[in-house]
Amino acid sequence: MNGAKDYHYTYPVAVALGCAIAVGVVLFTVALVRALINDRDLIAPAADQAEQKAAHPAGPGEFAPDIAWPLYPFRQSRADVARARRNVAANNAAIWQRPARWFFRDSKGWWVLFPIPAVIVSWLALASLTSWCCYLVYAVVTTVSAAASRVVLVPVAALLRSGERVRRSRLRTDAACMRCFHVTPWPAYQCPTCLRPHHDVQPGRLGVLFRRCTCGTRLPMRASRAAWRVTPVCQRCGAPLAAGVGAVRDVRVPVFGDISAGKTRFLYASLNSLTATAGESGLAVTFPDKDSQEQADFGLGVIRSGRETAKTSTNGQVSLTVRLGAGRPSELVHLFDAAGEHFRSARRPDALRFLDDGQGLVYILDPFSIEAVTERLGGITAPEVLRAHAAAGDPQLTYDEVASRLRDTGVPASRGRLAVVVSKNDLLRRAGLELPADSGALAQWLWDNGLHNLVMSARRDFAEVRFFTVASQAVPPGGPDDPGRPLRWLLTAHGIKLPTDPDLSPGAPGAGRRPGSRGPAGPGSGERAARSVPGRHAGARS
Amino acid sequence: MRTPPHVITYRSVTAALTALILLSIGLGFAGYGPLVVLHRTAQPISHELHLDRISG
Repeated sequence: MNGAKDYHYTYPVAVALGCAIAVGVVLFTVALVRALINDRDLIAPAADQAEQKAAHPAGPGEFAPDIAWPLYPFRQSRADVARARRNVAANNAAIWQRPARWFFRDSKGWWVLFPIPAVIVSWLALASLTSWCCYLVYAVVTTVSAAASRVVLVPVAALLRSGERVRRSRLRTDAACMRCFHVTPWPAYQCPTCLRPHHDVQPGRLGVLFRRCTCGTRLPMRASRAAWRVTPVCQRCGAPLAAGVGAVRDVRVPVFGDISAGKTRFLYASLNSLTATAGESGLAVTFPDKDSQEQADFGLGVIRSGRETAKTSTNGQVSLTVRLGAGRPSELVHLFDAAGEHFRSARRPDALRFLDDGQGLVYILDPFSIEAVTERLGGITAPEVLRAHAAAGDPQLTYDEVASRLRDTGVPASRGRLAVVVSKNDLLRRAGLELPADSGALAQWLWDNGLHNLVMSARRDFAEVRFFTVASQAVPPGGPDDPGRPLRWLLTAHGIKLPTDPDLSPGAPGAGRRPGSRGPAGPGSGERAARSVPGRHAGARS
Repeated sequence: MRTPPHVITYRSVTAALTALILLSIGLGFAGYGPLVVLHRTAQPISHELHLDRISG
């Protein structure tokens, strides 16, 4: 009988407790649905960027973090847990509002009806406890999931970043802007929908394989993938760059020299030779932008038709981008030229910014501007000299100006290569002067003709110097005075796969290296002969 | 502002996991926990096996 009587109490109590637990679950469910669906606390990209900026202020020359949706485990998970906690607290406050007022604040007389208030309070306490227990489960699940995701994502992102770094250093995939001449390790990539630039597409908290722009567009991470799918733009001025910038090898070759030394003509003639060489080896040569295409069409037309080259305007620079090969295995070569007037005060103008990031420089030396040569030909009024439109300035001064600029701007020229190109060799030969073709012998010839300081400075300032004679005409590749040889030497030295000239391979005779620089001068090279000269020429003009 | 798909996916997964755990706890309290259900399901089989062993 006692057992049967017990059920009269046990069942209602169990039902009441079950109801309390069910109400607690409902309280939590309502709070969670509001937190995740109806009344969500979405961390927008702008808010996340502001937080990141406040936590890690951008230093000089750095960009603020990009505006993109952060990955869920890195930010939104915390916001969701916090929002769910606030909602559970609010729901509990709502159910406790009246009972709290009845039993604890305004009308404490209710306690006369004891134990009714105690039962109600206990029932509500169980419901609240259940809702908080449910929240606890949700918080633990979300926190553990986010932590586990971060444990996977962070090392994967670090691994991908390392891979990208290795790839960048192996291929030397810089991003060079042809408008402002700014060079960065990788470009910014423009969102195709909202045109917002993404400055850092390295895997991280904004994404590992993809990121989502603030406009909702999905963008690939890593420069090696983004370069082919979205438009690369300059990090500094925002100018659009060629497709593949940041993913392909990027070599910059500035050409400098005095007024009328033959820089522009050499640039186009060497390009003409490069086009022929590449064609022979089955390598496509294209021009990735309209300006480069137009300039190349014009310049190559001038060279192939044998017409005179017009003087380069002092208002603008010639920068020409060539793509060797096609698609992902292609390489970009930038050739720079400026009016000779700029090089007379090279330290001053910002127009020569391209010199600072050149990986191999070409110095054009007009042999008709060498005093000893003009004297031998009968003075500056000799018909051969007049026909050659000889550069008026001292070749040494132009070189010194550029070398000083490089030193002043902190450019480590000692790691670079210099091709000293003696231009107009065809005219010189016609005038009866034959120059040696070998690099070392040519250096010796320059030394003997009063340019020993130039030869010495060049060998001191650069890691490797070679001397070339060229005729800036449509000379077939490999022929005498081929204007493509200096360019081929510089490009192959930077890893571009082109057929190499046998005498230009590393360590070949004539490789003029700095004392103490990597690799020895070739046996029997002109380097040693040139080095033996200083004693004889000590005290010559500087 | 539209919620990005990866946020929706993560939220769905965490909510589903929470629901699953709460359901397991609830059924456990009600006497229908996973272990109990497994035990009840396996009982006739183990009983038969037991009979086989003692008869054989």
